[in-house]
Amino acid sequence: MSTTRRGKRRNRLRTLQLFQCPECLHRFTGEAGKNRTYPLKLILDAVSTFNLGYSITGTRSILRRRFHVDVPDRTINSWLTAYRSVSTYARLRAAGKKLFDPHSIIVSRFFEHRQVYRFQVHNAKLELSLRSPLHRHLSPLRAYLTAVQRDFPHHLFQNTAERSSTFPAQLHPAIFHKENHATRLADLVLPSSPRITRSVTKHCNGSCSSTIP
Amino acid sequence: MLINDSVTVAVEVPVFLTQEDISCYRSRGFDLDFESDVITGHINFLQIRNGHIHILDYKPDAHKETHAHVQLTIYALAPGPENQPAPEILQVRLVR
Repeated sequence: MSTTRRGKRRNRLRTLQLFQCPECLHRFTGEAGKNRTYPLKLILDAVSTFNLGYSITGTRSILRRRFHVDVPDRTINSWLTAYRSVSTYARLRAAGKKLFDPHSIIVSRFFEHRQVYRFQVHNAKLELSLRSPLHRHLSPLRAYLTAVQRDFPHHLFQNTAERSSTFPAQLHPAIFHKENHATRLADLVLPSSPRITRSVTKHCNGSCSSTIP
Repeated sequence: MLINDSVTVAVEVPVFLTQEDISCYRSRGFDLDFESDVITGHINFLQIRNGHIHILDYKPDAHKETHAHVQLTIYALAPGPENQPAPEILQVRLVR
């Protein structure tokens, strides 16, 4: 059963779409980050900007420029503390900052293959990971990622008929299912993406569920 | 994820597997019963974790997915045997 749109709720910084359940007439919002003053996108942007190597004050001025909102340093600090468990780069940030400045820590290239892909490499994590004796045998990966940026057969990606996503091979590797840090991080990030639509929501303590159009 | 976690080192990494790569893997004992001049793809997330390279591909409709293990296996064999240490174990994990 499909919910219907029932007006909008405005707070200081956001306008939230309200929905109404046709079964119990309960009104609710489908937005992620409920009961927060600031939009989830801004919070994620603050944590990400800080992790690029900017100071809290630097992060604040970048947010002011991007979102036209002046967020207090103390608020940014509280977000960093709240999301430290999922933002695991925090423990590498100091070491990464010594190796690369915020502008060069991530290399980004656009490739026009059959569609446009934004290839990105995190230089600090790559260097720090490969320094570890546990990962030293993976160092050819660095050469490959460097080659992708400089000398790479991009024509293969524009002309080839076979793509891995549709390649008709019969392979039967052992398959395992599990929940881990990657899925927990995805839970935080995916709801902030406007391209991801949540098809089902639960409300009324889960007693009924309906589909958001 | 690229910015905030401690293990993701690259995103949207282009990879390709040539017929020579497939032959090379077969000579190392891999049982690959497919043929193609070139197979291409893009790895969503490439991670270095616990001494291994981890390849992640997000599937919005994972419960309906039937082809992900083929795609991930091809990603794991690319970027070609000369560019990576020979894999001894190949495990595919579908994480939901």
